[in-house]
Order: sequence, then structure tokens, then C-alpha cells
Amino acid sequence: MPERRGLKHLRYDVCIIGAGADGLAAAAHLAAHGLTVMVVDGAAATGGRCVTAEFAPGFFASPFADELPAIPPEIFFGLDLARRGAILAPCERLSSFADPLRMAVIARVLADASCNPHKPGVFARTPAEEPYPGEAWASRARAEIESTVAPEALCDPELGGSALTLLQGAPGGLVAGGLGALGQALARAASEAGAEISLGLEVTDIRQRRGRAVAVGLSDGRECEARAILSTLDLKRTFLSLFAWNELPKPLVERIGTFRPAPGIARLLVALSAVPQKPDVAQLRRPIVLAADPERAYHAWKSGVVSERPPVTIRLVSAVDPSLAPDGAAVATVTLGGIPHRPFDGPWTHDKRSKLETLALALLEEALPGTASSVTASELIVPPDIENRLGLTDGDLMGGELSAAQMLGFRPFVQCRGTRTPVVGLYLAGPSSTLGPLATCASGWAAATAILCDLKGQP
Amino acid sequence: MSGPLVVIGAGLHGLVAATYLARAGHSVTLLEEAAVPGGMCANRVPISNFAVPPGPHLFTALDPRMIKDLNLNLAFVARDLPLVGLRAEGQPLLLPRDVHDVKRHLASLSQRDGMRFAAFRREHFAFARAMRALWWEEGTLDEPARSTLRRMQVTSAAAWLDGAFESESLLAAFSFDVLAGGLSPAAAGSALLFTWRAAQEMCGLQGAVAIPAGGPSQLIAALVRTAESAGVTLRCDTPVRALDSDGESVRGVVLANGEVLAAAAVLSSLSRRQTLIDFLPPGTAGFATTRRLAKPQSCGEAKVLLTLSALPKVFEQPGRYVIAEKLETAAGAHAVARTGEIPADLALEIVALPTGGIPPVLLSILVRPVPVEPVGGWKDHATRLVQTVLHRLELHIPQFTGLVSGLAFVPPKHRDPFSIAAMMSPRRTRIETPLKRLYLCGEAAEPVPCLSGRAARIAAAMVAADLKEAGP
Repeated sequence: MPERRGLKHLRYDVCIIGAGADGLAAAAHLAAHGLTVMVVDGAAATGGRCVTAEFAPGFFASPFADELPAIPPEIFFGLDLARRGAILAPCERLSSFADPLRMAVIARVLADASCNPHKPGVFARTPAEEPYPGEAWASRARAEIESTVAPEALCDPELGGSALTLLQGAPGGLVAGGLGALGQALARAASEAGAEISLGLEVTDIRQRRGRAVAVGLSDGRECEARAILSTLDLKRTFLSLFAWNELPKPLVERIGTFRPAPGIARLLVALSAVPQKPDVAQLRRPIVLAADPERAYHAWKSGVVSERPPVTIRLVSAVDPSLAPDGAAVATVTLGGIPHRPFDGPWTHDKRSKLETLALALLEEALPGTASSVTASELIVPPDIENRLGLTDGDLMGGELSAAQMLGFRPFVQCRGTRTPVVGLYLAGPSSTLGPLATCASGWAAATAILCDLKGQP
Repeated sequence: MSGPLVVIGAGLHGLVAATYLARAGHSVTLLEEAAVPGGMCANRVPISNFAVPPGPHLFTALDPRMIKDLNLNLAFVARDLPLVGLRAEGQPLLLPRDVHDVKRHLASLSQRDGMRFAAFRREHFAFARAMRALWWEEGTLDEPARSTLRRMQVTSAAAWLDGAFESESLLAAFSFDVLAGGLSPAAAGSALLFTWRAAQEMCGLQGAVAIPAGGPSQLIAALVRTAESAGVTLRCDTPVRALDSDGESVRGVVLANGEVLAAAAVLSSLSRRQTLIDFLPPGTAGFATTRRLAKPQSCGEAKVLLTLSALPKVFEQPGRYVIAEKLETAAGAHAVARTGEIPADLALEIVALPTGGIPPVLLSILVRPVPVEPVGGWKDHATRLVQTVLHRLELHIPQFTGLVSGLAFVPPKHRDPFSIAAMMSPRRTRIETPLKRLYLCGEAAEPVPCLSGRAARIAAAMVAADLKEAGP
């Protein structure tokens, strides 16, 4: 390797790829325990999905989601997020069935993370594995439990195994100032704990030595050595684009290649010149869910078509947080489920986008009559946009289908459950990991727990 | 001994159970509602000058022990039939039992799949052997089998196969099998069902994927002979009206003509739903069971029979032929069928049988997935379905319609809802019912609905042991 003079040689205990909620939570946790941490992100700002942007003069909205799955309380308080500016508006509980199960899964992953899987001795017996919490739900259909399907977790509710999609989507509540405020609070927590955050710097590859991930290559040509590397990218991006194609065992690559994506979503951010009126003001604060045929929409998505009536959630975000819109105006978001990343007849074109926008506006008009005339600006986000901006494969915010075979102990796959991956020294958090779709920050926290355990021998 | 026994339904399962029990020294009465025994295997569907059975056209899983124990001396027209996937263009894809042959046939499509197939089969074989402990014997699973089972029960067949193979034609050839049991190939656990089916074939069981000489009715004839020589009293034209129970155990059966037959134990080869809901006063079977059985299976398979004046060249090689476009569309087709419509992309399994008469060829076609109860009934849909099938055949065989001289249609049968949980429960739970002295010995007692005779043999042994334990 040629000598690179003038460049600082980078050496950290942990290198975290991606400055999203998971990456930042992990960074804060690790730095607080005295490890040197570097967070690398290709974007110009921290937060990943937790960003809020001005999409029209004076109008703000979070482009990728209005709210994220709830942050487990111990993590929320552990990071002291409330004092750092993440003020959550309380939300209404939509489903309580999955809550105990979600807690049990989080507890299980954290417990697994904090025990070092020692090399078994010569005569050690492999103990019978404890079943994962929730395996009994793995063959049940979602329709048996709940009739509505959220756009983010679109599935065929009649199919066995779809019950597990209920685990996704515990509403975390809207953040005052949009999700961006949460992102900033997390970034503050990480940097105050002593983590270094490098923005605008992409990771080009993960380098292995003697079968162990030891360093990452950065886009400015430097190499960052680390005792542990934590990726918060999705599974395919982590393994298929950060490793040279022949460096990983073939079965592992094939296994990762068959990981299935979830139905994508599209979002329309709408600036309204007037606040829509409803007899009951409280009604405007709640998300509006229109009746849809999720079964049809799911199969339409499978064949690369946008369903005529996809599941949709409409939210007047400015009714909860007035700071997002100028006085007397409003911001609404329309989230459509089952949007193909690549339609069957080729990539997204201007025509297809405007057709989808028309559909979204029609649905908005149906939910909030009279809004059509007050639309002053709008921005449509389809899966390829999400892929470009967040770097998620196929623009899939779920990081992989929420089918029974890709949930709980099977997410992303058995050898990679929890956060440790088959590559020693590489840890996985983010959407594709077990906790990714269940809770915000939790997968990063679990990964940090595992790294602390492996590097320092303590939980 | 401990009193007379009654077996309901003189199909394959009923006959086997009755024979085993009679051989164990019990006095057994076998009740059949129709005029002739055989059930789904009896020649009941008229077509041209013949009559054919409404059930499956080949046996995939006949129990070798049953054949040996009962000295059936079956002759087969064909054994170990290969799976042949007909393709829109190019040679049909032949998948015989011999792995090396399969490798050779697959080589032209995809080298990788050729290599993969052997491993895939080995994996299935090992798994099937391990699962014997759960499906057919008394025992516990070892740890590797348990972990495979856990993986299978959450995986869909479509994802399972997609992960294993890349060649579209090979996947399409499996399209028919993945739709077994009325389950969607995208449902969690359908991988387990598919594996069971494949494992049956691969275990090299006697008569796996075979057509007995003279058709399924010859097997029934042989079984009836054995049953009679064992001393079974066969009563045809004797429908059962109800089971005589005191709410806790069953004491006998009530026939449609009012006659009451007392029995030390009753074995039913009918479906769980018929046995526990139709024959018993409401609530006897328990709330949970009743609720589970209330909703019948929405998807099933229909049968289309055609007589041909000549055998098309395509079908000269013996085999079960599958026509399906793509594996990916199977889940979508199932979703359409579930709503009560006939899907556009159907998967067909075709077996060509010589009739030995005129017209000389009988084409037996199973069609999946079709709604069990289509919107508006089968009246109009049957014609449309047959037309679709003919159209599909015409695409693969030019001037096919000209060969057809007669046709018949068998709508799908009502079945118990299939559950993956039943495949993972020990055999005793499938055979026993909430009522004492009432047992199931038919398809409902199999891990997967099929005609094998195995469940009946096991049920008979279990009943005999239970009676012995109860004492004289």
C-alpha cells in the first residue's frame, strides 16, 4: 500500500457507520463508557431519518416519517433526550397487543448482547436454544387480530405470519419541531459524551485482516482502524457494497442476496394556505386512516404496480406542532403504502410521479374536504428518493420485509441475530437488525452493549 | 374382547383402519354412505365410456408398511414418476428421482441450480428422516432438526425456493406443489408443507408418485378383499346421522335410518369438521375447536378430466406434467382465489393415462388454486375454468382442442382448514379428539391431508392399545 503522507492516521476503539438515531445512540453509550468513538456519515447533517426540512418557504416537515417507533424509556432517559430538546407530544395508543411482546424481544436482544458467546469447550454440549419471545405468533395472520394495516407495514393480512407486522409501528409520538429536533438531541448526546462525528465522509469499504473486520476505508483516502465496527446501514448495503465481492464466504453472500425487501412508501408533503376545518379540533391532531384493501395493495406492489387504493395515513402535522407552518397556514403529510421501488414498466418518471401526486391529493381531499383549493406547494418522495438520500437499499425504510421469516430471532438471519454478525468485529444495527423495526435507538443501544461486552468484558 | 368397533367411511383410510383392527381381534363394522366403497378413490365421475375417481390421480405417499402388512400385491402402471415442467419455449424440464439425472437436465438452464439441487435434496432427506419422530413415530426431535423446523415454520415456500434456486423454469415447475393444502405459498410455514411433500417422494417410499394398475379403484378393491377376509363387516348405503355421546365420551353411532350401533370406540375417516361439528350436538367438541373449524378452507384444487382421441407427443414420456408460468405469481393467484374469483394464472398438474378402450387416452388435470366456493357458485365458473385450462394446453400443444372427445369437471372438495400447527404436533393429538373413545383416522389425522394409509394404521394401533389398557 502506498504511503499516504500528511494524512492523520486514524485509530479509534469503535467506528460507527451512519449518524442516524441508532448510530448516535450507540455512539453516546459507547463514549460514555470511555471508548473512543468516531461516527461517519456521508450526509451533510446528522440524524439520518430524523431530519426536518423546509420544503416550501416557511413550511417544514420531516420527509421520511412523521413519527418513529417509540424509544424504549430506559434509553430515552439514559441519553437524557428530553433535556437536550426532544420534546415528544403524547400520542394515542393505536394497538396495545404487541407492546408486551415488543418489550420482551427488546429485553431478549439486550440480554443476548450482554453475554459474550464464548467459544464452546471441546466437550461442551450445545444447550437447547430458548425459543424467541413471540414465536407462537409466527404463523398467525394479522387479520385475526386487527383489521387496519398501516402504510408503513403493508402486508397481506390474511396470510399466516403477517401478525408479526404488528410489532412495527408503536407510535412514538410527534416531536416538537419535527423529527429533526430528535436527531439534533441525539447528536448533542453523542458529542457531549465525547464521540467524534465526521459528516460528508463516506465509508468506501470495510477491511478485514485474518478474518476480522479491523478498519474502514474513507472516501478521502484515509483509513480508520477500529477494534469494533458498527454499521447502521441496511443488511444488503453493509455486506454487499462495503465488502469486496470475494472477501465473504459465498453462502453468506447468497443468504444476504435473498433477504427480501418490504413494500416501500411514498410521502407527499403538502403546504396549505389555510387550516382545514373540522367540527372537532382534536380530530385534526390525530392521524387519519382511510379504508383500503391492503391485500390487493400488497399484491399490486409485488407486481410493481401502485394500487388504485393503497393504504394511506394523513396527518396534519402543524395541528400538533404549530411551529412547522406560518401563522394561518398548515402542513399536511400523506403517507402511501405499497409503492414499488421500480415500477414494472421502468423507473419513476415525471409522469408517474405526477400521477401518484394526483392520487395522494385526491386522498387528502377525501380525508380533509376543502384542502384541494388551498394547496400552495407540495413535495413528493418516492422510494428511489429515499434510497438516494438515506442510502437504504430499494428505499426500504423497514430494512427488509416484516415477514415471519425475517422477524424476531430470524432477522436478518439466524447467524446474525441480535447484533453480532458472522464477520468478527463487525456489528449490525439499524433497520435490518432484529430491533430495527421495533423501536428507535434500541438496535444501536443493543449493538453498543454487545461491543462493550466484547471489548471490555462488561455489559 | 372389549365390544364392537365402528369405523365411519370406507375410503382408503377407513378400510385400512378397519382391517388392522379386525386383525387385532376386534369385531369391526365399517359404515359407508355411498353404494360402493372407495370414497375419493371410487370410480364415480362419468366421462365418455368410463368412470374415474374424483380424488387425486396418483399416490404420492402410500405407506410401505401398510402395503406389506396387508399383502396388497399392488401392480403399478408407473412408479417414481418424474416431475416435468412444460415450458413456453424450449425442451420440457425433466426432474426424475435420480439426482444426477436432474443435475444433467438442469445444466443447460443454470449450472448453479444443478449443483444446488443435490444439496437441496440431501437437506430435505435428512430433515424428513428426523421428522419421522414427530410425524409418524413416538419420539423426540434432535436439536438440528428442531432448529430446521423452527426455521421452516416461519418461512414461506416462495421465499424458501427463491433462496435455493435461480432458474425461472425450475421454480415454475414447483408452482403446483407449493400450492398444496390450500395454503398460500407466501404464508409463513408453507415451506414446511412443501418440504413434507417433497420429502415423501424422496424417501423412496414404495409407490411414491405412482399410479396403480387399473387406477386408484384397484387399490380399493384389494383393500376391500383384505378387509373382508379379516372379518370386517362392510355396510354400504348406510349414512351416519349422528354420534351417540354423553358429552364426554362416545358410545356409538346413530344411523340415518334411526338404528343405533353401540361401540367400544368409533373411528372416523371423515374430516374433523364433519366428525366433530356435524355429528355431535353443538358445543360438544369445545369452543376452541368449533371456532377453528367454523371457517372452511377457502382455496382448493379442482379436477378437469379430458378424453383424447390420441396421445399428444408431449406426454409420451411418463411423468406428472406441470404447466405454470412463474412461481412469483402463485401467491397473487392464491390471493385472487381467496376472494372467490378464478385467477388468471393457474398451475396445472397433468397425468396422461391409457384407458385401454376408446377413446384411448385420459388426461387427468388438477388445477390450483381455485376457490372452494366461487362467487355465484360453480355453475358459470366451471365452464370458464375448463376453457382456461384448454387454452393453456393449446398454447403448449398445437391443435390440442381437436383431440378432445369428452370432458368432466370435479369442483374442489370442502376440507378442514389446514394449519401448520398440526404438522408440528405429535401424532397422538391429531388422532385423538376432545371426546373419549372417538378417534380420527382419515386425512385429518395425517400431518398433511393426503392418501397414504399411514394415519389409519397408526390410529388402529393406538385404539387397540387404548382398549387393551382400559381392560375387558
